[in-house]
Amino acid sequence: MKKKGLRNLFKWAKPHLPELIAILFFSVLNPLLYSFVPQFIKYIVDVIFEGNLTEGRINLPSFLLSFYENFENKLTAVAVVGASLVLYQAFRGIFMFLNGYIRGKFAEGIAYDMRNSMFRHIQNLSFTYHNNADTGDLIQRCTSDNDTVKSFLSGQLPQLLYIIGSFTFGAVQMALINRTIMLVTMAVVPISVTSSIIYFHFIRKKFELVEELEAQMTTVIQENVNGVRVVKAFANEAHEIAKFRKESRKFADENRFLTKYMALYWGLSDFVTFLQYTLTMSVSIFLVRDGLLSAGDIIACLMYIGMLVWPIRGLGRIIGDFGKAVVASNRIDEVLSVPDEFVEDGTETPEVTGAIEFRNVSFRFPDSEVNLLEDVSFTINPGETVAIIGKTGSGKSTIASLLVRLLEYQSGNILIDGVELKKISKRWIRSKIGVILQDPFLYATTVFENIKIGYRKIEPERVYQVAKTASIHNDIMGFEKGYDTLVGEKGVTLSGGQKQRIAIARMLLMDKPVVLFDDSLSAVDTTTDLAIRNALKENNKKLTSIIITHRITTAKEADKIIVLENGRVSAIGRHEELSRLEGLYKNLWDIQGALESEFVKLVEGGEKNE
Amino acid sequence: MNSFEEFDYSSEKFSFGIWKKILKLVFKRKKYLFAMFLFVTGLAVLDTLYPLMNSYAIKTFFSENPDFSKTTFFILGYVGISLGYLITVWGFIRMAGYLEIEVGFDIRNEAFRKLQILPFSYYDRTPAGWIMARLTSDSRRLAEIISWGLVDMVWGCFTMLGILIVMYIVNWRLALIITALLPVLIAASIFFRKKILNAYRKVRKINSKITASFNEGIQGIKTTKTLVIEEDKNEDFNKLTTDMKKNAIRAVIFSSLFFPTILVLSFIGIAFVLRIGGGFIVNARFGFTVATLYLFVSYTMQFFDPVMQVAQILAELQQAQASAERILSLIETEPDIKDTPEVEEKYGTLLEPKKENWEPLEGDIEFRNVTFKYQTGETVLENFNLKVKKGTSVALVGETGSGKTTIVNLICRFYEPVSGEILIDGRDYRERSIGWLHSNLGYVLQTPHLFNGSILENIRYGRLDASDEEVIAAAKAVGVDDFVKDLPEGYDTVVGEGGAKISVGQRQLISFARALLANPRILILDEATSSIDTKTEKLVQEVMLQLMEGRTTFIVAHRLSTIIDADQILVIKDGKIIEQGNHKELLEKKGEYYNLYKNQFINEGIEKSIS
Repeated sequence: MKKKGLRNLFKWAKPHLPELIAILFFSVLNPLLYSFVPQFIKYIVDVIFEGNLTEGRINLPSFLLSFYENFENKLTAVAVVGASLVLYQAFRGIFMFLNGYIRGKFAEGIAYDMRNSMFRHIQNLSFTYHNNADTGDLIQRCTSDNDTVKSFLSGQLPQLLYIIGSFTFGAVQMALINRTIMLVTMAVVPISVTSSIIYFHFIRKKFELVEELEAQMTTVIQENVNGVRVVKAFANEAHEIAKFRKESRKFADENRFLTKYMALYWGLSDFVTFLQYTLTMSVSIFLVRDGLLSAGDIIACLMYIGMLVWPIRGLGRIIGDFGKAVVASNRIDEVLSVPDEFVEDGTETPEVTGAIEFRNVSFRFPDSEVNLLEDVSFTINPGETVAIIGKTGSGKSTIASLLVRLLEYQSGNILIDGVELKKISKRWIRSKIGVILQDPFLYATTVFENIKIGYRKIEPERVYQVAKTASIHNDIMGFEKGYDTLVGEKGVTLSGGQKQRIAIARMLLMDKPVVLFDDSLSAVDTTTDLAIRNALKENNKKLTSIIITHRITTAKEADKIIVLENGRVSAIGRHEELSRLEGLYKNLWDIQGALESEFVKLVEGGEKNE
Repeated sequence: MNSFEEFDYSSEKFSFGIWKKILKLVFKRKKYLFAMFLFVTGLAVLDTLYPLMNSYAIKTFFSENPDFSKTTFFILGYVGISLGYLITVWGFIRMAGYLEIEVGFDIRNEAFRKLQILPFSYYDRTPAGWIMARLTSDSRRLAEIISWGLVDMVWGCFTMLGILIVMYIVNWRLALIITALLPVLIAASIFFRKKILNAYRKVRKINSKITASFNEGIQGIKTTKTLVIEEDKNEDFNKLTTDMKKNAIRAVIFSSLFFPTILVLSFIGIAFVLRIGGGFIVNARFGFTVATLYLFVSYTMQFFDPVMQVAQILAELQQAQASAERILSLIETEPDIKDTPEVEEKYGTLLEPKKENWEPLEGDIEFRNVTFKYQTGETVLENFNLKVKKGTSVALVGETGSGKTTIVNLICRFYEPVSGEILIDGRDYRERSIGWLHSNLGYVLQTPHLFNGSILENIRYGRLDASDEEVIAAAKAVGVDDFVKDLPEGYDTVVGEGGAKISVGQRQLISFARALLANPRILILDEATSSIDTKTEKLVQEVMLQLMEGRTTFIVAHRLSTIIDADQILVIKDGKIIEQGNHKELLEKKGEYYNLYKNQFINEGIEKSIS
């Protein structure tokens, strides 16, 4: 598992390998180049001012040293060395910039790849997957897990090399000056490294606890804001304040506890580090007594100690982050390794006129043993209006999902213009059979964009036209910004009926030969419902429409009515036939009639009683 | 609602007014503030002292004629400085941390307190997300920048000052060079910091768009699939991520240029120090030694860190100003519905009520020439008159969005009439306190809002001082007890966020128990449209009737039985009352009510037979 985790993590770096190599190279190069900076100063101090040391002890390229020797005058030499130091730093600066830039490119390249492949894959995952998925968790995998992986690969990983490089080159340069000093300066290393690993491990857990308490506090705010009517109506404002204060305090107290440890760790850590300086300085005082160190040496050493003692304190954090990154990359991979729905797809793209045949179709969800549809057979002819009626849970909507291959039937055949549905491309069939859902989704953009969705460019006139057909035009014109009104959180909140009508309008615009209403006029009153459907027929005489409904008045008008009971077709026919045939439809119809007359009687009876 | 988009207020100019108010909040925690100040100053002193110490060591031990008699003194000195770091670092982290925590705590509390006082209308026009962001991310950010920003600011300024002072004392000629470098460093730092922050602001904006796209992609998956617009959506998303990449890399360019620039600048300073200082040594002027040269070189290197810090803080403060402004706008919002000082004098405030002065509420309600319009100017009620005798019920009937809720909101004094008056027991309800009214009010919501806590706590929400026995009695009265008995943890069962762990019907019953416990004189029932199973529905019906007994009740009604039984029925359409009367009278009119009732009657009948 761990091994696979590593592969999951590093596979994101693979397409950007040259960049990664460059960053890793720079991460080592940077401390290497820096380790020569003190040598310039040492040269000035020892060679120029003190003039008491041999050149061999200056670790600078010999061409540079012989170049410096050309300058007899001490001050000219200092100016030249100083100027070359500035140039050297500028040279380092260029590498630093390149490092930063390439690192940014690398990080963003990884993030770009991850975001796009996650988005694409999620779009292509099956309907069944989405039905069972937890949105919040999925989004977290797409955003914060993505960030964790990206910043580990582009940040902590090179940082690790930098720490190792800084430590190594610092140590080597010190050893060249004096081996004893170098060894003495190592004293702090085991303490720093172990304490940093322990500390970061400990603090991470504490952080999680603090975050949890913060989340609890946020919940209180959220419940208060969302339940403002209840709070106010019961006059419990003071209680709410006390409740919030308690949660807020709990969060603050745990945070204080955390702060206490943080302060203690960093205080102690600085203390230990400065003790290291003390130790190194003390030893060097003894060394200088024996004439083993020069002023330039100690100045350089003071700079080298820094290379050894400061960066290693970050090791613990990197180790912790590594674990986090592996977990995050595994979570991402979990989503990406679910096969998408187009793994199983057809290739045929037949002309769709509306001839649909169900032949002994059965369906059940993979994780269930109960068939939702059992042996369902019926035919729909091009241009027909067919109603499917049944009780809740009778399998009506399953038929809609099967027809556009959101779900796959286990046995039987569905023929679309004579072609087996399983052989037809999913996208093709969906582009030919338009499904309007009961609870359609509107995208966070303008009303106009929501209707014309699926088209990049379109005559506005056509949009208005379909909006009129779907009886939504007047509603839209009633909004302050008309068609430019934003939908959703940042815009207006539309009623269920308005949403349904916008969904109808956009389906109309796509001009598909078959339209399926999956209970999608449920929030529209009966009169408008009828008006919309008449207008539809008017517009396109060849349109085949399938209406899934529980409204008997809607079903009544259809050319053919399919009655569904417990996943089986119990009757097929026209209203005139079915209303005379014993069964569910007749029952419903009778109830409708009975209720109507009962109602009239009720009212009239009431009047007579007056 | 567009005005609530995350725009960054004015914020281009530094506003002293805003920060003065914020500092006032910080000064409430003087103790931490001063302690932090002390520790940070100590740290700055140590940072100045340390190179000086090294310099003396070099002079004493590494010069031509070393003096080793002071070895012990120096070692002790170093240990002392190390101890100093232990104390100051420990102290300032602790104090700044505490300051951050407590300032955050204060800001949140103040904002939350204000939220409780603000009237319902505020919530109507302010998106919940906006409010949430103020109490979470904004207050967190503000507290953080204030405390740690102060640390960096104080440390940066004092370190710079300390270094400059020592340098001027040691050799003012050389110190002048560094002083000359200072404005260049500051200007460069501020330039880069601003660029970087602006670039990242853009990046953050795109980032939130990306998150929103993911959300939409997941939530709207079925629609996207059925419309076959996956490719369009992918393309749109790719545009976003490409934009993100472009902008993020741009931001990176600025930040990677920043450090090298400062580095080269400071080494130019060092080169000058070396050359001029070197001159002093060679010419043996001003007592300049190699040790002094070390001191200046190391000070110059040390110098750019505080400059960068201060520049960063200045830039971040600019950014945080937007957060500060938004929080202050919440804290300073004046409630547009509040009690007059005279009323507060007599009946107390919302948070400190004087219950002893509260008269009992009988429940006679009268609307007298009430006109109401929303701030947008849309008139909802005009010269509306209605008399409701205590203990009777009114059903409000009409389509969603017709304005039924407005009447309810007026009765609850969530809103107040623009003209005319609403009388409770014959007196304008504004003559008595909001708390008085609300304490006599029971509200049962369409989709009951439960708090994440136990069933017992949720019922007790109706009357906080009720004993366990009273709570259970209320629960028994409305049938909560029947299902609680079957729960393994009984009344201690936690209902989950929004009551998610129990069924809708059970949530409704709990909200009835809550209202019953409150024993209100006025009851508002916002009836559920959502269907619950027939058995529960029957139970809910019975309980509702029981609850209405003897109370003045307003029902936003959907079910026939409740409508028929109401003493008065108001039919509302497009914010106007179009029919008013009892069931019989309205049926006779054969108008809107007749049609509504007929449809409802048949739909309910069929639904019953089909489900």
